[in-house]
Amino acid sequence: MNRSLNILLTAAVTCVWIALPARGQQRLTVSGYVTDGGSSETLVSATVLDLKSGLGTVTNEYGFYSLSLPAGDVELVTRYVGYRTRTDAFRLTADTLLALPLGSMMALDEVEIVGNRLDLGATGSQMSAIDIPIEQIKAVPTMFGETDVLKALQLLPGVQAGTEGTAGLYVRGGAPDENLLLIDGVPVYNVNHMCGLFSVFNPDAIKNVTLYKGSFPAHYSGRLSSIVDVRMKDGDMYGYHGNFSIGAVSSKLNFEGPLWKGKTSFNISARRTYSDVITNAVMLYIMSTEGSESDKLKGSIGYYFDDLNVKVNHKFNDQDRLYLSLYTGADDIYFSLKEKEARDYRQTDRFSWKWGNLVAAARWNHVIGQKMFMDVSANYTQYKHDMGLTVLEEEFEEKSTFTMGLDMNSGIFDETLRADFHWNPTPLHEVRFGTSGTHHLFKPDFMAFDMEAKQEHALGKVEMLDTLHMKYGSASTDAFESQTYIEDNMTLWDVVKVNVGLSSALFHVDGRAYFSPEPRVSGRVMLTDDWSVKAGYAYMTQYVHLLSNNSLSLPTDLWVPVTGKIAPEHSSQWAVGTFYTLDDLCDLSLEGYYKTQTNLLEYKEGVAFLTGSTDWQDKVAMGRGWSYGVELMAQRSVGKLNGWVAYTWSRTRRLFDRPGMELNGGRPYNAKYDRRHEVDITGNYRVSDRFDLGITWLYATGNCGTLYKQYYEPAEQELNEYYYGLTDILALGYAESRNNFRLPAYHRLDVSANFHKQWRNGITRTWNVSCYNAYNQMNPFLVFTYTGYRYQGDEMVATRSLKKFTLFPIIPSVSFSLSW
Amino acid sequence: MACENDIEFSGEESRPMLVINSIVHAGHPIDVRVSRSIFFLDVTTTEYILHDATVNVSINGESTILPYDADTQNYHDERIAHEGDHIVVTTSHPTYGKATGETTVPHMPKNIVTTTVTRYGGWKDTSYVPDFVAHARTDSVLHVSIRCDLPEDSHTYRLVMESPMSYFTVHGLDDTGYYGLEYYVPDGDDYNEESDELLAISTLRYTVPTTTRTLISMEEDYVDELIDNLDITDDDTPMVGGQDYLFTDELLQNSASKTLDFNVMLSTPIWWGGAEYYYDPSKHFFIDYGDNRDCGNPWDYLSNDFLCHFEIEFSTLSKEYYKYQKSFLDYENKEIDIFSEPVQIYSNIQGGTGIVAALATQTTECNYRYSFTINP
Repeated sequence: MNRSLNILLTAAVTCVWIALPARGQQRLTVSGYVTDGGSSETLVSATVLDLKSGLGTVTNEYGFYSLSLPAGDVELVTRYVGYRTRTDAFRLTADTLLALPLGSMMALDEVEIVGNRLDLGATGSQMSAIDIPIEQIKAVPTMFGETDVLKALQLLPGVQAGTEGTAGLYVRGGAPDENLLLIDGVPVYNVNHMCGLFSVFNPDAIKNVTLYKGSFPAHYSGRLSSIVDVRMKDGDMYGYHGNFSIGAVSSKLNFEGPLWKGKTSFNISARRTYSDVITNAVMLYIMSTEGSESDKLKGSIGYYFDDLNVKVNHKFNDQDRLYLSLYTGADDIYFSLKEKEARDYRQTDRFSWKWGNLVAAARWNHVIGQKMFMDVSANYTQYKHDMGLTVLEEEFEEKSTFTMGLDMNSGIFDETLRADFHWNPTPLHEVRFGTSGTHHLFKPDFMAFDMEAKQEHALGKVEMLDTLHMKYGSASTDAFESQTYIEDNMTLWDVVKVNVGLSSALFHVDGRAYFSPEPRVSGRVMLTDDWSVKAGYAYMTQYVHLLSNNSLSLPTDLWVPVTGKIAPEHSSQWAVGTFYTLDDLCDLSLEGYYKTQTNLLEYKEGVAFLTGSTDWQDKVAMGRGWSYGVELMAQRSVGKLNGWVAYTWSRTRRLFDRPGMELNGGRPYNAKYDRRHEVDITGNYRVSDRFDLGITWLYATGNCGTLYKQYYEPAEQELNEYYYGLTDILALGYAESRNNFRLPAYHRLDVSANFHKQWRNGITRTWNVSCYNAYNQMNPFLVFTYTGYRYQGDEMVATRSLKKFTLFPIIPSVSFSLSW
Repeated sequence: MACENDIEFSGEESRPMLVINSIVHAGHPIDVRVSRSIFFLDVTTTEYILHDATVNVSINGESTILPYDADTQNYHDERIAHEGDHIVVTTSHPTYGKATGETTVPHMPKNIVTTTVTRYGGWKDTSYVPDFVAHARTDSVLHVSIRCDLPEDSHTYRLVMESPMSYFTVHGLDDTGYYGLEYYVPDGDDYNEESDELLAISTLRYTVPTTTRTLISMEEDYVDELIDNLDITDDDTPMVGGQDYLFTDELLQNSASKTLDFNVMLSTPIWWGGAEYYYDPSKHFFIDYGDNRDCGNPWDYLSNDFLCHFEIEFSTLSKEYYKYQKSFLDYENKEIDIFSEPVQIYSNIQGGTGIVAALATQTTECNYRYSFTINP
């Protein structure tokens, strides 16, 4: 059915394009960049509107706009929230290149700067997308005062958080690996630090974040459920700025400025946690208390994560720009211990477990003529984890050594070439087309074990006593993926706007090729000047999967490609909604969606990455899922009080009924993160220039889990004793279905306050006081049954109880920052 | 920062169910165990065996109400189950209602298991093996040839190797050396005088894993693929003990035959847990050399011969038993791996839970004399 639908939609796209009336008359083009007048930072999604003709557009992700207008008088109004509106009136007699720098209204009033994108609001054809400026993300109260992009996104309708405290996104019933997270257009595979408690996106380095939950434009592909497009700051072309902050978990430094005034700028951001500094200090103290023994024991132990974002931007001229961007970040758990037990013996142990991303991009933007914008890039992204353990034992008198090494690693490595074109042939068409090719290298898992024992004899002769060298793992897999797309954001009539597109993806792996045409269409009908109705459809294909069957993000989670056995995942999503802008005060939206997914992967029951030595393909089952829901959002974008209220009603189901791959006996069941209701309230109130408040409250129906509500004895009673050693406890649990138990509802209040003060030297200091889970709600991190024993008289009897484990009670925190 | 608390169970308290368990062995009488399940918070409830149920067993339509045997706590049927019999167990209880389950006894695996033993002659590539173990090992290959010619409805099997040996290893062989891990009796390294006898007779059930255990698929290509996958001499199917039984699906249908090669390896002395063990042929057990110096130098045993004994059970399974055992093994894995999803044990009982299933087993014994040689 999907294939038929695809063909139908593809034909429809072609017909609409051919049938479009040639409405353009004598047109001339105005194009250029919209920038921050002070720093020359390009402004994404700024609106450019000609009041004379009523025609307008928005800047693309590089701040570029192109607008074809009738020759004659033009009155261009350029808007970007937080900046003074700019008006340019002139007579258009030829194609014109016009730079539009905007003056900032308030340099410090961050909480008042809230996005309001023309293409996402009531008037745009795009739906199921939300744009959040980084300033508002920074204003959301967070755990330990650590601003986090993904956790702010979790507060949006249709987005769920999964396990408390983690940064995973469950968008409209999708899994975390179904989200394409992009830094400057390059995918990031591992978006988590500290098992998911923090995301890898350092807010100080970020300019803009856009989330797409459905109706995906054709230039995005590769994931089923969402696109998170994160754009890094370009850097100030004219002045040096920076900020430094120190918090409970990490310290951050951001610095930007010109390398060549007006031509080249840079932005560099770094973040590092320092829990290892504390643990090492504790360890030093412990070792120092050993007194005279201290020289016999030396070592260190710790965990940290760090991030580094670097971006360099060079403007050759008004047509050409070059961007170089780099992100690297890693988590590291380590210990090192050197022990000297006696004069002739020494043991040295070293352990390190490091995992992280490296993302690099070189991008060239070129304006071709007046109507076409070209973006060509070469990208590299990798995620890998590497665990190493070495043990060295030395016996000096016998001159013998024993060494043992264990190395485990896995990773995914991508190299991509991409070219995108934005073409505005007439005011009625905003065309994008492009192509990309990616070489993937998957190294799912590898383990090497090496051991050597040797002894040195007289005359320097070395005798090898024992050796052992073993290597295990799956072979590396090369894959090639290409994407070609075309889309047109068309104005059909004054009140009707349609975005139609087609993306085609080809994935070649293990001698097999998968091809998938992906039609996309969305449309908008204006009912009044402020009220519109939208609808959209998107078909998506995903060729890579993340094998992870727990709620935490672990470095052992494996990215694997489709194979001969494992088919690509597909999704079809329909969405319909209505949007209303209330007097520039508030944007209201109501959306409904229905999404189906096929070839979803789940670990089989009783199987996980710790289980057995069988190939990963034999550990997973394939099935399908469907989800539907309604999302309501009211977002206030301006003023001292801003924020949003969101409500989501949703349902997510799964069915794994293929022979040999049955889950839940082949019957449908609720997905783990099927939550019927979720309410999110986020507000920021700017009391004065020196004081502002933030508040977040959320309520969500509890997650689902599987609970054995009945226990019974196995058919072969001896197994009861053999496996459990128990005769008074029945061994087998019975659950009427998978995810048959719903955890208690989740709710939480976070508050924060910022105290600003600008010193005479221009430096502004800010104290942030925040409180996560302010009323100390004991939300369950997990719920489990606990079997123990107690005395009943002289007899010990078994007991079983239901327990919850709460990871995050009330957490107050303070952070301090300086900006200049 | 984290904390743990008891919480009230706020869900619907499910009612106890009737549990019927009956594993029918071809050539044996039928026993039916009837019990009830207990609510998970009522763990202290011990009265779950139901002796006042009405149990009706029908064999090919001929029904009998079974009497309760208080000694075994089973309902016992004197009739012998034969291959091809269709058995329906119906149970009713005044409190827990009525439940029923049925199965068909699979055909006996006649003359399908033969075993031969050939000496293999040591390691091909000692780079995989620490010298201090390799030089004391000699290995043998145990060929288990399986040939099946059964009706199409008997396509699931189980192979179990049993040995009174306290330690042996089963490996797949490949061209370059050995894959697989050594398997030890769980308490084999806790040897002491008191438990010597007990451990010596303990039975190690080595269970052979397989990579593909899909139950039903009639596509010929798939069967071919399955057979390929079950080539345990292949590098990709290392045989790691202690996890799965071998359940082959349609492996041998249509008179197909298959030979499975097992490398049976015995070692002495061995290292385990930092202690040194040697094999005592008189006890069929490895003894901690460190605690038994008076037994002499373990290297003296290197030239000893002793008898190696294996029992090989080959069973055809009803599909119900296959599904039940398969889910049971997954259930065990869940106990090991806290991150895996909870497993629902397969049940074919309508109106309750449990299992009514059948199997037919043939056992073959294998004895051969084993001698150590030292790899120079």
